[in-house]
Amino acid sequence: MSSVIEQIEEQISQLESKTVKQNTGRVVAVADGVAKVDGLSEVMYNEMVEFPGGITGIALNLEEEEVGCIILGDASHVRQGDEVKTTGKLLSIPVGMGLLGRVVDSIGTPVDDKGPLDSSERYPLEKIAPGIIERKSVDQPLQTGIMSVDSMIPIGRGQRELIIGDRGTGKTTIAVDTIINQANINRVGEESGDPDFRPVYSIYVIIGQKNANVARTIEALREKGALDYTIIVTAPAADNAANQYLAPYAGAAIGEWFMQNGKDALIVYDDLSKHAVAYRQISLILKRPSGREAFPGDVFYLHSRLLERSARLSPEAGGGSLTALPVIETQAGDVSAYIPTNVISITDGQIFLETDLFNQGIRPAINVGLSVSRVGSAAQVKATKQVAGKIKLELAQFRELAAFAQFGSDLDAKTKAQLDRGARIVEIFKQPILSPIPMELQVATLWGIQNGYYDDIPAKEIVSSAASFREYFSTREDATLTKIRKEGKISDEIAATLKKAYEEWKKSL
Amino acid sequence: MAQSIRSKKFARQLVAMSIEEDRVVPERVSAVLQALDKKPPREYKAILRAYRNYLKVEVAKREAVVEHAGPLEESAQKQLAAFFNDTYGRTITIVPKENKELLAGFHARVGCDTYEYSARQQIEELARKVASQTI
Repeated sequence: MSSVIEQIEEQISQLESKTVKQNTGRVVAVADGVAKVDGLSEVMYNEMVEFPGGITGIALNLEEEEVGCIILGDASHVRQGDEVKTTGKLLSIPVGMGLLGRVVDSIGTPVDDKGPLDSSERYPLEKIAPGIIERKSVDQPLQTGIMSVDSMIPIGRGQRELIIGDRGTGKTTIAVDTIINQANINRVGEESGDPDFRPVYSIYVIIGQKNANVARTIEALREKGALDYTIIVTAPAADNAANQYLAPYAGAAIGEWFMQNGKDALIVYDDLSKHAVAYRQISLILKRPSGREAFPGDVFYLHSRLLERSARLSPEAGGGSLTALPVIETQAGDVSAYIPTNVISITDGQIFLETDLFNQGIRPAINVGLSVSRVGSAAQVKATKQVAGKIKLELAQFRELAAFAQFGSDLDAKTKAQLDRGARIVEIFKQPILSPIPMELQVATLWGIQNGYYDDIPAKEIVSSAASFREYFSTREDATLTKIRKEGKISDEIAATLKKAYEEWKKSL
Repeated sequence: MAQSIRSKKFARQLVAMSIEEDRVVPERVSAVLQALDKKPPREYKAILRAYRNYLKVEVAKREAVVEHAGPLEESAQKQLAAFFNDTYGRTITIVPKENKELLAGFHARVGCDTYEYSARQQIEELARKVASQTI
């Protein structure tokens, strides 16, 4: 009891005895998580305001007579006539290494029952993107572990690559595989003790998804040991629109901390279609004028200011990077809808996933013709370039020929060979979920297809044969794999080792 | 929408007519109301409502409602008035109002700004801090 009294006495002595000045207003109306407030004459745009009971809000609409505030938290406790106070602070979130392995909401409150966050620094949610002087062009690869992406649509650190497709085509899988691959690479790099090794930390922003899916993704990351290198920002479907609107900016702020401190980070926004819908909801309640598909006029700026925050900084600015993988869900494959076209034009390329390919069993269901990486080739590892340089073209030719071949049975030998080869390339790119393949094994596999070692294997057996070769090669030629990883190119010596390994493996078949 | 903008603009002009030497003059307000009553404009009710709201804001900006627990001495009122005049650069009238719930000290409101110097607020603050530490 005495300790409690001592505690109170200590608090009394700490209390400030000066007058506290605050700018206030009164709630005029509350609806759907948005409060209209009379007063607040000195409030700033995007400033945090305080409702009774410790509920926080953000001033989004500064009008002549009223201020429109979105309420972050339980709006049912806010009543008409309640006093609202300005705080003088912009919305910020805890950042730093202490957040790794944690799950937080849009305002940085932990939601994983692991106690308070170990963080002393805060970053504002809204920040101006780095300028042109601070930036540097993309020159370092970011391996996704997905063979078709790394070989044909390479991604560089600091790039923004859109993952787009209908529901259930594997968009989240590509993102999660990439996060798992970063964790795998980080572990290998840390074990190697290489002082130049730069780990990539991941931030996975979940917007408007089902809680069951969120739990499944977190579990998958934990199982694969990727959670220790990952921060999850969650605003599931059950969360209010305000939290869903803020979640990507919270993730970007966390990612920016890594970038500004000379580290590399990857951020996945899953997905920005739901983000745009949440913003539309807020805008309509705030009575902002609506435009195409009832989205407000600044929906382009909503995503451009978010994605522009991903960058590769110059060595003078610390040399960090923030790579973004935004996800967009299309309706019936319509890439010409409002939000998809907006985000396509903002990003540096897109990975387009197709339902037809998915149903044909081609997984990941990447449409190579519509997918592109505008800047990633500058960052692609030379070894991958050596073995995958012509594959995209061959695959495109195969698709054209395959469509043509449907109408006739008599094909010349050259066309038949091209079709056979194309079918094998399609097969070799098939990959199970949550199983990213390291770059060196991708190179070894693609070297085999480039040099015809899979030509006499039936197309249906290519997937299992390639997996068998990878196992054979990784158990016997670990030194060669390390060499490919370190040198980043296929020298004559490595080529000779690969040739010998393929010949021996084929004998063992 | 356009009409409501017009009525707001008109109401603002009426407010400007009601102010003299940086204070709302009751006689002028009565004159404005009489003139409106004689020849009611379109959207009369909307204009009157907007006029009332704007006038409320103008009055609140020039008034400091000082809630106090104990007696508020004349000298203290003068000190407060001088402080508010300096802070806002206009003449602020002190409107004292007794509120025993404050326990001690005062709580003042000038327009949207509040000044808190009451024992009740300090105790509430203390209770919040102790509660957060106990949790």
